Amino acid sequence: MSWKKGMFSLFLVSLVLMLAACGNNDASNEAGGDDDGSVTINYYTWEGDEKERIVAEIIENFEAENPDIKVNYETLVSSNDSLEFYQQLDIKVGTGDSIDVVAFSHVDFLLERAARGVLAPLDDFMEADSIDPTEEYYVAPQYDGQTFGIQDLSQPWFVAINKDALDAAGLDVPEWGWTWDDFQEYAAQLTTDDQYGAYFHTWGEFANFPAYAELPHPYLTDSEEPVFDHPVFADFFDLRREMEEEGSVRKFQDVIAAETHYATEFFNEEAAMLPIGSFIIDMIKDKESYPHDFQTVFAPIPRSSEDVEIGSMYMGGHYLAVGESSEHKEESYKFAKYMAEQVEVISDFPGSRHVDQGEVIDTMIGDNADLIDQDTLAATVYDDNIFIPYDPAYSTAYSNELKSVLEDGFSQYILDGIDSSEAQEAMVQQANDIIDRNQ
Amino acid sequence: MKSLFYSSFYKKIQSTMIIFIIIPLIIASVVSFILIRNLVIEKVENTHQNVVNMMASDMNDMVDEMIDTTNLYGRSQTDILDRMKNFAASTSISSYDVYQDYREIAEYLSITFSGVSSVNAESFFMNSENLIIRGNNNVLSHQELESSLRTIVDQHWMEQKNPNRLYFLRASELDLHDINDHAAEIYAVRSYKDFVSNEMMGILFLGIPESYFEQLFQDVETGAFQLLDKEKQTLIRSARFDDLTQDNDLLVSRAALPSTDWELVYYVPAGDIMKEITSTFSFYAILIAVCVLIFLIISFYIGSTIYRPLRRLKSTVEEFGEGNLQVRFPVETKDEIGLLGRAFNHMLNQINDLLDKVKQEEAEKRKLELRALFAQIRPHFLINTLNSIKCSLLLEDDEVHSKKIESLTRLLRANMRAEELTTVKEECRLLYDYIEIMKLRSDLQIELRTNMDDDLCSFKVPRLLLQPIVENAIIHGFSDLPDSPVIEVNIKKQEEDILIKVIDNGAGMDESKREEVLYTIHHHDNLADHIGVKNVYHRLKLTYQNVTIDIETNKWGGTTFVFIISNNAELLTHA
Repeated sequence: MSWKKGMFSLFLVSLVLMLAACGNNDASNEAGGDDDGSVTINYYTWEGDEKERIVAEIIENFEAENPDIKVNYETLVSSNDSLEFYQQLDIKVGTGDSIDVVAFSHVDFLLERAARGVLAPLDDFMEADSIDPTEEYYVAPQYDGQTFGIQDLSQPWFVAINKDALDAAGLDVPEWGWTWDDFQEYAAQLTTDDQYGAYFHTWGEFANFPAYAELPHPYLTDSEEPVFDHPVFADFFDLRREMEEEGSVRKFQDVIAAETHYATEFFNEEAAMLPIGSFIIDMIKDKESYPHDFQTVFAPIPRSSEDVEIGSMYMGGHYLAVGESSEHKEESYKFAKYMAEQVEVISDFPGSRHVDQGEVIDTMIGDNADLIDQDTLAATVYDDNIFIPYDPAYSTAYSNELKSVLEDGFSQYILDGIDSSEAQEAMVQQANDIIDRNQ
Repeated sequence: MKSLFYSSFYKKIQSTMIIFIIIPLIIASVVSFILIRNLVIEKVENTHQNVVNMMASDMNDMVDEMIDTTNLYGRSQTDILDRMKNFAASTSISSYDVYQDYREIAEYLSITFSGVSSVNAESFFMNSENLIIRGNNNVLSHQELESSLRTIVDQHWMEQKNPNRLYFLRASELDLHDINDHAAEIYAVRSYKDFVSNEMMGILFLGIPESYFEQLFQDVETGAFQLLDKEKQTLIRSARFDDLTQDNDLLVSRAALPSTDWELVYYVPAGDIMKEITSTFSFYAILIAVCVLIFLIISFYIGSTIYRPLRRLKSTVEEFGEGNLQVRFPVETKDEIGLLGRAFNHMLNQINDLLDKVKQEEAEKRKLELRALFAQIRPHFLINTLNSIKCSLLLEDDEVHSKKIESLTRLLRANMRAEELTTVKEECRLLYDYIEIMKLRSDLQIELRTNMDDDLCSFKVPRLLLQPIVENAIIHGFSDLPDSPVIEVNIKKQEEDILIKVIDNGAGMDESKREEVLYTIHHHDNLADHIGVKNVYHRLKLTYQNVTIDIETNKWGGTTFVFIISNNAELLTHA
């Protein structure tokens, strides 16, 4: 019966083989990633939801054009809050993680980190592409003579106006050259029993628009002194108080107590005019979150007086910087530059000046012509006279702290009813303290 | 089973193997399944208790930490207490100071509660004038909070709450449910009192988001959790709770949260555990089944290759039996079967040879029979012819020759029936006929004398028994032509024996000749000499067993042949 022995050993062998085959499956497929020679760069930001969807689409196009670069979009915060994001970013920097592409909501936040050596200068790459950053982009984030980022999106500020309210009051859409006095007049005329003429939010911009739209720097002079004693602050503070007294805007104390939101205020038709950045356009299009049925027309931010040159504009921006710790700086730069030149898939106006502006407007409006007025938007955003007085060279690592000085100064002025000069004095004092601390 | 023992050798081997492998395997599997199942259920119950204890302790820690953190707000001599006192009676943010208090409290909320475990609690404070301050982690907007809480929370409501303890309320009790799916389900509420002025300062709300529980529960893959309050009312149910209700057989583990009087209950459908064990076992069962199947297939294959020669041997036997004599077992191997096959083939060859031989013999026999039949025809013809000659001789009055022909006819007829027995008397009469003919041949006037006892007249002897002896005497004894040749035949009874003597007065026989003749008679060899005598002796011996022969020289100098048939009492009575 030796064959039976043979069978038995055969049986054992097949059993062992089967068990071995079953056990094998788990081990593999763990590594993955950059084996194929491609590099993966991380893109850190605070923006989720709709913004994430748009950027994902751009990333897909970018990866198709650059098959050796993979971009990993990562939101470091779940709250869509950029300030919280900067905290998380600084924690990430602290852990020594390598950082490739980082988004910034304002040039000052970027420069603050550039000064700390967190970000890498991009001049060499730009030179290789023969790009002059100050000419190519609306705002070039420069510190110490070096460029530390690319403005991938420009956020021109304008006044969004409810066309229905405008028509009801029989007013024309304001044009370039109108002043804040005209704005005050418009607000008064647009104010009805259930609608304020305008809405001012709690942010520093709303405390003094001319400082942002007309001065080279809203907080500092070229000699690195506070600019808060400039007369334009007193004028705008007084304008705010007058408008509150006229009842054409919601009172500041109610705004802070009720934590009102500029978007709900505008779309719920609580206020007819809203000076705001171009990010409002996405919200206009987001009918689900902000249901409304009126068309929005656009006007430039008013000038403080007839003496101010027409075309002076306040432009926020969205910036991309490359981490000093990045192992793929060139790929990261390439991606940042790509982001600044989008015209077909856009979330905001491109940071590069040299794009097809008509296409940008078309893409921006899409099939929402019933909600967004194309002509006034194009006229407001792409006028030949537009210039940006803001000079990042004035910016310092601490200039972001000075915004709260302005906000506090205005709060005190409007809540305590003090004189504008008194408020200005307090602001200068506070600002100097900060400047001294940072010297 | 019975049929198994009658089935083929091959089937028997295979079935035995199957039974010996499969039955013990099944028994072992079932027994181990039952044992392991019991063991696993016990282990699982312990594990569940541990899981639920751990979770309950996690939650309890969270609650403790929350209480601890809320205590920070009431502490005297702290900046936050001053802020709360200042802010307590504000109906609006009427001044920059109030705004600063407002902002400080908001920031304090954001800072303190972001630290409580992994809860990420929603936090907001409401002063005694229903002014709300939110921390930075609120899902619900200021407006949503205000519109819901305004209807529920007032001065009276606040004063009912003991400022020294934390209350846990459902979102529905605060009318904060169904606003946002991500909003908290449970709110920890604590009121603060300025104990100096005995004024209510406000109330702190901490929303424990569902995500805290989800995160806690998500690591446990089976079963569902339910958090019960003091009145055994559901506070929180885990996502899979609704799937449970159809299942009646639940393993339930409970753990208490001492800080809140809550109870955490963990339900796992017993079926889930059984499913795991069963699926593991069925995996092994399938594995074993596959192995056994492969084993059986191989075994059947090998078995059939072993059995094939046997089957061929069987069919060879059957075919041979049906008449195909040329069929042979094809020997392919050198094993036992091959040996058997070779031997079997050899046997078949031998059978064939034997059959051939039998056939040949049969054919010869038939030929002989034909010849015998043919031979019978000729004597009759001769006899008839001789009778005709005799008749015609009689008609011509040639009585001598007629007599001779008659004698010849009688001899011929006797010759034809040589194998039959005849009486001694008849035999003697034939001898006369014979002598008559011999007289004709040799011109010798031979005298034949026959003497026999009367009672021996009918003694039976083989026909033509004595004729060769007489012939011998004539040819050898009377070769020198004596004057009066006499042949005497005496048949006598001597006591129990019968003596037959043939006596002649011829030349006789010397001793050496006599020896030689006797030797030839008694020994079997193929010498042609003395065939007549030998033949007579043997024919007599075949008829009567005890026969002796002797040759004597008689008084005339001639030869006497003596046959003695002894011990024939029985025969004699017949005679």
